[in-house]
Amino acid sequence: MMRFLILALGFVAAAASADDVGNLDIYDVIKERFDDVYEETIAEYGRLAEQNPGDIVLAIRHCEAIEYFSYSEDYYNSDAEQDAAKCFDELSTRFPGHIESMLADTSRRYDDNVGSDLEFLADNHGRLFNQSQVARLYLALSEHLSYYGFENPLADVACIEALERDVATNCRIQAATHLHRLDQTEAAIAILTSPLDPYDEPYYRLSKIQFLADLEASDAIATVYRSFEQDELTDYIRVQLSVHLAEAGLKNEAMRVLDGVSGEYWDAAQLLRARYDVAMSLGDFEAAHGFYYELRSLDGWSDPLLRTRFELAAQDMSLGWRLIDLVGLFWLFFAIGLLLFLALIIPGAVHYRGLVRAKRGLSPGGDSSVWSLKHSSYSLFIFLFVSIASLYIFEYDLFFVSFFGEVWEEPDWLNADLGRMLLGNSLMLAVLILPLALLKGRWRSLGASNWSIGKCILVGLGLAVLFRILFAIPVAFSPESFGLGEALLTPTAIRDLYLAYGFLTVFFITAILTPLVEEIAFRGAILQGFSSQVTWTGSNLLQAAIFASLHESLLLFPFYVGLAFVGGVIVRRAGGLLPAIIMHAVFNGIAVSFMWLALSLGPP
Amino acid sequence: MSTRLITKLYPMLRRMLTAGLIIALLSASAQAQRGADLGDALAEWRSVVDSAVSSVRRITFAADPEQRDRATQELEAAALRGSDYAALQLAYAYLTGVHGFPMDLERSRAWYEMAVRQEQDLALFQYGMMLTHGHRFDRNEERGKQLILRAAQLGSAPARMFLVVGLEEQGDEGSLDEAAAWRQLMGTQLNPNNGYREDDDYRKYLIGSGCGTLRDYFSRGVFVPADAERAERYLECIESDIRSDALAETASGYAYSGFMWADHAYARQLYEDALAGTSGWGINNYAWLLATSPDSAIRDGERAVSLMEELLSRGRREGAWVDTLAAAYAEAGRFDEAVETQEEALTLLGRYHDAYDEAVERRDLYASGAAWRN
Repeated sequence: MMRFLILALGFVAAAASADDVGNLDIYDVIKERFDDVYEETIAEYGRLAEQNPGDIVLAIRHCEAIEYFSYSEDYYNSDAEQDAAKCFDELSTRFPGHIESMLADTSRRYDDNVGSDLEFLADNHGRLFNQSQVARLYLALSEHLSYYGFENPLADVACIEALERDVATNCRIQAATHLHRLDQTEAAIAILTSPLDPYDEPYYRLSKIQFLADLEASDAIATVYRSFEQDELTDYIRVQLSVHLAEAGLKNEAMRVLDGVSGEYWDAAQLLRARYDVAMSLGDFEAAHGFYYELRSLDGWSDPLLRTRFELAAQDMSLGWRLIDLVGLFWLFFAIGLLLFLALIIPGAVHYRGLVRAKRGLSPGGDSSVWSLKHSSYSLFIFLFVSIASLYIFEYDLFFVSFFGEVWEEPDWLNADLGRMLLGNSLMLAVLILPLALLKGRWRSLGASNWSIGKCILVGLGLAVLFRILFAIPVAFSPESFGLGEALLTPTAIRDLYLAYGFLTVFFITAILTPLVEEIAFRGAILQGFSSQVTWTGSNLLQAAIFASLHESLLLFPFYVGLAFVGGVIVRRAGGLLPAIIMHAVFNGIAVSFMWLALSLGPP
Repeated sequence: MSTRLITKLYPMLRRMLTAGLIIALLSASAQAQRGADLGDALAEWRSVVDSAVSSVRRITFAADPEQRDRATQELEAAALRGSDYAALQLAYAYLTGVHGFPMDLERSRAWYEMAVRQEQDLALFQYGMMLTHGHRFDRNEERGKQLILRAAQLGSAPARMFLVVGLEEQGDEGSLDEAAAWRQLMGTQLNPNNGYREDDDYRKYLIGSGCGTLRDYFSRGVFVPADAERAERYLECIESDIRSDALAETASGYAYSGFMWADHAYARQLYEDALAGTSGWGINNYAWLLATSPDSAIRDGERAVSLMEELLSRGRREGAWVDTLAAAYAEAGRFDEAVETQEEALTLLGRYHDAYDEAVERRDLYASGAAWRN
């Protein structure tokens, strides 16, 4: 009873005090659960809204109170949910076109129209709304765009629009990202270290430091670091902070922060990993060497493929090796052997089928004498090996988490340089696959013995455009509606490649090198090697299925099978790879050109 | 085999394409309908905003009480439909008892609260100043400062300068850093295409405008207790070469703003004080007030003509300035000269200038022997 009285008095004091009416925020006022005063609370908000008939904000608070309680377990009933919906509907009738009502509406809705509604309002706000309302509109748009894609530059643009109107807008890291993109690194640093940022919370400061570390802004990191109080430095913050401080060259601060880790809430392996990272950042390889073997002696952490040990060796050759590294070497050779084995399974089965057919007196389907099954196996092995090797070399965290599951920390997907990985992957493939087509007169297969060059271009071009349209269908209708929300590595990698190396590089890699290499491997070596053993249609379906499975997308799988199958058909008809290379090149070229147009013609 | 497969697949593909096309058309039509609904809602809201702006103008310069009563009802209707602008006007009217409104602090407070809840920056600043200084309402420094800070965050120049001066008076390192950051923010623009851009002239102008407003507040005593000493201190925070311009800018606020506190007599007094040192634009704005004010007690065609002739004799011929000279001739009853001068103004403005159409209307008005009213 006493608790009820205290809560009720607290509520009445909070809601009825005229001074606090300006700060009337449902979620502030109801920080505690007013279990016993649901009706009273809603009625109080209703009374306030009724007493101020033109006050849309109070009317929204009233609806929010009803909605808030409709979610409460104790109070929940479907009537309350309907009452809330009705209350919000009435708002739009009472205040037609009012931005506060529209913002409340869009923040509650989860349908696909929210984005277009917000964009429409942003394009038409004119002199209709005040600064704060326009800023909140842009922030809502920015949050909406961020929700639908990490690192969406349009979301950053909307954030800048919001921040320009209201310096208290909570999206400074996004704004700094955009300024950095515009090569205004100093402005980006200034925006993160501004004393006018009203948000001052330890994890937010840590995020700022993480961003500043990417900009190598040592002074700014030191400034933000100094604003931490000792009691704010949790173990997690200490470990993260120490690495960034070390990277910024603040050796003493890094060590001091790390020494303060209590270990109570922190895994010993994670702590050792942080010490290793700090020692590496500080160039103390001897210490890093020690932490490395301490880590290896712990359960739950290992370095089976020796990458970390190789990193150490690259820094200082004099650091000794230990017996445990033999285990690593064993795993390394085992992994390579496994890849070889995988590359032999499918050709092995095809060969077996070929033998059975030969015994029955059936002839193989293919008519090429230049490619055999060994070329198929080689191509398959190279594709498997290079995919894994490029991850191993360029994005070890992703490699580790993909193959071993356990990792000392979540890989930083957002900061992963997938562009560099794609570049490495493509060049390695080119070096290892192109000679296959150039040796022993096989270069002739790059042309088309039955078709003229004009016909090859015409067919390749037409099919590429047709497939581009077909591929656009499942993509245009949002993947979520198919229940197949996919996070694809390749499009992200292509975008990263463009951002880091420019359009010419990305065009060369995706529209020239990749089609050449993939057509030689799949429609050349694999298709024709298989067809030296089994029927041609079977071989074509098999290579199309392998080709599609390497393109990661479940949603587009049937489309990739179709593309590869038709590629096989035209290669056979033309008597060479040329039309398929053209089709593949135009197909990729269109995609990458649209990406370039979208990124370069749209807002930066 | 492959040809047979393609022949079999073709009807299925055709059906998929047709279905895709229908879905795309339906979706596009739903989007268009949604856009139209939003457009209608915004048009309705635009009518509320327009009605509020127009009613304030009619209340401020109403010729008869009946017309003012109608405009007042219209303004209250706009406020009841959620217009923060209308709420601010009503708050001011009930605060000061201008234009026939009764002085009623409780109603004023209620309207201020409504505008503040929508974070209308002027309302935040005015109400914040009153609460901070305990002027007209009970003192509540904490809330008052919060409101002023919020106004500053939303770009209010006087709110920013109020904070800057206060922080600089405190003098400790943290306060000085914060003051410097606010100063830095004045005159800088954050643009998605160009990023961070600084403009010193704009900064000077904003500081002048902010400090000029504060000086005005402390000298008039509407939102804070009148304090001549403090008013002078705010004049000192404006760089000396633009003080007259800042004064003229404050005068323009009273002459041309669409707010309930428009006051042409006071604007004229401020312009006269600024006249000696202000730039061409300050003189032009003053002459326009003298030539076009709806208040006959303010209008002075001959003075406007002499001000503009003197300004244009300096050699620079802006289209807008020549336009003002023509209005001044018309007010002085020299319609032939007015038409001739307005023709020159039209040439200088050019066909694509925003003010061109209105300037043509003025020329026709002068030709019919009437003067322009603002």
